[in-house]
Amino acid sequence: MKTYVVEPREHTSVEFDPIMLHGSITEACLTVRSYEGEAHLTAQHVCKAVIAWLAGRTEVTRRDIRRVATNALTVYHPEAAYLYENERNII
Amino acid sequence: MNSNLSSMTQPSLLIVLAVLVHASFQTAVSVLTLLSGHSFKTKQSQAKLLRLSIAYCIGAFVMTTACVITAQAAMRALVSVTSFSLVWGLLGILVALTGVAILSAYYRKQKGTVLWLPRSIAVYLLERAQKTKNSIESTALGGMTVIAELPFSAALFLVIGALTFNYEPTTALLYAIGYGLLVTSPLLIITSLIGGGHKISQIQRWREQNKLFLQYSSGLGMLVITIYLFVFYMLGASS
Repeated sequence: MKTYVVEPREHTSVEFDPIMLHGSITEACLTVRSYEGEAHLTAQHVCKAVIAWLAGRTEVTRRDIRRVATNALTVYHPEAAYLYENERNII
Repeated sequence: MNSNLSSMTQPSLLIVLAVLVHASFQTAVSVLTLLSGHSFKTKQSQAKLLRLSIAYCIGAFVMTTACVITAQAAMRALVSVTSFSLVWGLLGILVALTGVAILSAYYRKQKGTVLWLPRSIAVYLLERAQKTKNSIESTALGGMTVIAELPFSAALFLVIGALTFNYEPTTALLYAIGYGLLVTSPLLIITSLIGGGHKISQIQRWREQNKLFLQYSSGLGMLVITIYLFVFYMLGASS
């Protein structure tokens, strides 16, 4: 079953893309000076956790994904999780 | 002797207070954090990150100094057409209004360190920080950040301009350069912290935890400057 990510402001939805999530988690880890291998491994774990949470859900928002990914990332890398959660709240 | 001493110390104290208030403004620090974060994301070398950060600090320093020199020229022109006490009175009102604005609305009421800047400007700075790839772009970004912060810092520039425009040109320039250096010093400290291996998340967490302290200290500092201007300059000039 496919899961769609809804954009409430734009009234559109796109199919959930785990590669995009993997990329943004990797970037968050690299921002706090993680090694590249560690960053990819952490991103894999987080993506697995998010995909498990998505099972049975057909529509979610970006904010839902960010919240679940932050919770999963906090387990593996609290500093990266803090930055991932707050990257849009810096300026 | 005593009046000589007080005429020397009053402007200096006011300048020090203005520097402290201005140095606690956060727009330039936010953009530097974004710039450094993006450099880590794109796996740029530590040397390149340092180059970009130092170029950014130079941009902010040059623009701050230029703003002080412009304020000195503006004050020179203004004082030639009106009385000194009126200028001090207007400056006092401007500083007070800015102080109240800082106390009430410097940060948006949400998580993180989101500043009260027009969102279009904030998004523009965010995008520019992400697109910055060389030292020239970084220098320009530093300058732009100082311009973006003008709604809060213009009053301080004008106060410094009014305090120093009467000096000899070389002394006035030295004051402008000194002011620029001191106001840019938090950026240099953050650059050295990042260069020394501190994580951006630690710096951002510290900023978030202390944002109210910084907001209230700079807002109250503005109000103290207002009182200072009214008591020592406006009333002093009219009596």
